[in-house]
Amino acid sequence: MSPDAGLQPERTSLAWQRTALALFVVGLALPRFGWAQLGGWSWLAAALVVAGGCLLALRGRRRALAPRASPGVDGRLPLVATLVTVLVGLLAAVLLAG
Amino acid sequence: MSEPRFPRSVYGRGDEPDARFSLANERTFLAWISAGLALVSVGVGLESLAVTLHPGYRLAASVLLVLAGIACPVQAWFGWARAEVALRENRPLPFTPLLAALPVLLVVAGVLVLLGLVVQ
Repeated sequence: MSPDAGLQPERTSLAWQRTALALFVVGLALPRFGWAQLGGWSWLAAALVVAGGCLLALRGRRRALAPRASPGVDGRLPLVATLVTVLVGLLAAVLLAG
Repeated sequence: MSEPRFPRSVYGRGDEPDARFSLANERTFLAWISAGLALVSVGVGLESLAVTLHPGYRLAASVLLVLAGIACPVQAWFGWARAEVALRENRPLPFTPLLAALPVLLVVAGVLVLLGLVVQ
């Protein structure tokens, strides 16, 4: 029998929110720093990253508070977070190369 | 019996672990994601600093930080998956190579910045 998870769900939910916030900041910085190399594409990239952040904020809270064995607690949201973050890194590499 | 959750390589194995450990694993994943975003931000931000840095050293530091910043989310995903499987199968947690490499990378980046400040 699994003991009460105590304050862990709350900490985890907050961790998702903080990550979403970091994505917002980074996403909004993309057009500012990337205009020379990316042009209009920087707005699309910004939209993708900010949308990813919104997804993390909303879904992250729900999954953190849900029972661990629920169907919603799986690898999909982590995968989204991973892909968005890798995208940010690749765009940064493009910025440096330009 | 319903379909195992995605990815099957994780949820198809073992049993449901203690919720606290699984949540801790999730927070570790998010910590690696945040680390990646921070490294990328600093790597790009270096270029915008008003301080005069030797351009060669500045670029080297930036590239190193951005590469480290791309490695972090990769580690985040695979580390999370491997740790979750270990929790489900009640085995010891796997070692994280990037954890040992990261301080070295940061020190090297710091030294490059210092050199960029000193060399003109």
